[in-house]
Amino acid sequence: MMEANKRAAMARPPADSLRVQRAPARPAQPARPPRPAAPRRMPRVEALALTHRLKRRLLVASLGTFALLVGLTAQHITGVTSAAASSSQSQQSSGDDGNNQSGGFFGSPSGSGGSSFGSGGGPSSAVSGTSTS
Amino acid sequence: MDADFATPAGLKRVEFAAMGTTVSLLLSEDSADHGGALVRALFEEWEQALSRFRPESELSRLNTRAGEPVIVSPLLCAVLETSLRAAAATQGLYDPTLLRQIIAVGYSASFETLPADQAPADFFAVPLLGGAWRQIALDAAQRRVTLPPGVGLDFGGIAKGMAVDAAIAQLMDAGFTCALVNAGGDLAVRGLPPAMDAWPLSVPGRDGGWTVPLATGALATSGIARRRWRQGGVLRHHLLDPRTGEAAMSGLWSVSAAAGQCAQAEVAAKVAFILGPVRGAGFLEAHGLAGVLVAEDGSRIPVGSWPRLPLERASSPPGTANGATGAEVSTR
Repeated sequence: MMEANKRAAMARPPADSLRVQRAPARPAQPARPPRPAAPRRMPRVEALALTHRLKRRLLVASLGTFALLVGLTAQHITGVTSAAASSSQSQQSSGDDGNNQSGGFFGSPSGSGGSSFGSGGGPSSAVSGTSTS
Repeated sequence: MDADFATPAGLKRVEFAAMGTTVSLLLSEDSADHGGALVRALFEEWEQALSRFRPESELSRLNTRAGEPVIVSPLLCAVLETSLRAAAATQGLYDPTLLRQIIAVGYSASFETLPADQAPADFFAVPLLGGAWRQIALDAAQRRVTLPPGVGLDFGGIAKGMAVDAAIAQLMDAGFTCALVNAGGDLAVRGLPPAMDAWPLSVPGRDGGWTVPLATGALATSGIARRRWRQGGVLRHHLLDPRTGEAAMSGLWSVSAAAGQCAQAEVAAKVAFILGPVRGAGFLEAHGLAGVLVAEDGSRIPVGSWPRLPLERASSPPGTANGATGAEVSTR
């Protein structure tokens, strides 16, 4: 047992000698990332398949956009038409026959509107006339 | 224009061209020339300011400055103010902001120079609805007007009607007691011709017409007999319906309306035409106005105190009723 301890002590250097032999402290270097593997070149068949897929998607997207535009245009025209119709209907349904008594333009709604006709006894030659303007 | 009509004794007829039509006056013989000169100067001033066919007119310059505030003359301010009151009173059926629309249907130049058959309109052009008059900012005290961007004014017949009213007022101010002013069918009378109890005036129907005795007030007729043309084979005319932005197709041929002022008669006739036979008659009645609506088939609807007279056929000279009675339709 003692023999074994002596051997162990001989094999281990003394603590002071260890301190002397230790290299001066250097800043820790970052670990190098592993080099990426060289990109695998896509096989021709796979590239063609991918191109076909992209083409198909482009076609679908174009058709979709076209349909959307057609839809929007149709909606706009319908909207304008219905706006005209609803404007017309709302004016009619609200009893609007252009009669807004508050406007004051035509004066009092009663009476003959400021004009009057004579008796017109017997035909007489016209001295002037209103014509389509 | 009025050369075929009789001239009452003691009166003289004066005529001149203005506002794209013939202005005809009947005035006291002794001072007719003076009155004629007054009215001619007035019409020239109004046309200079308000014509949309003159690029240098004040109206044209205002239209090019839509979107910005513009100080306008007292005349333009007064006409615009009256137009906006007319638009409000008719809930927009009279609309002074249909310049783009009337140009779009082909009425882009003075009617005398307008081709009767025009190229088709842009197929994709969507008709513009009216109603932009509601966005006009008018400060009458400052005479400052701001039109909505892209909007132009076209007063149409109301300016002519107002000019007739202004001419009558000016003649009365100048001492005339009896006068008739007729601007292309928009007319007004004051006083009476010597030894007559009314002014016998011809009114057009579809085929023929009537001679009505107007004692006082004004008369105007709106219809499609004259100002119409073809655009790409489609019949167009100048009476636009602001609810569609298109020429009104109401089943009417013309509407003649009587009112106290010529501008009122003008607007009433136009609005009644746009509304059609039944609603148009209701409109005149609601405002206490007299008038006659003539349908495209020639039948007529007299309204209010409008004289129920026999139709005078076109072949008959004015004022000689032949006893034929045009089909009369009642709205009641």
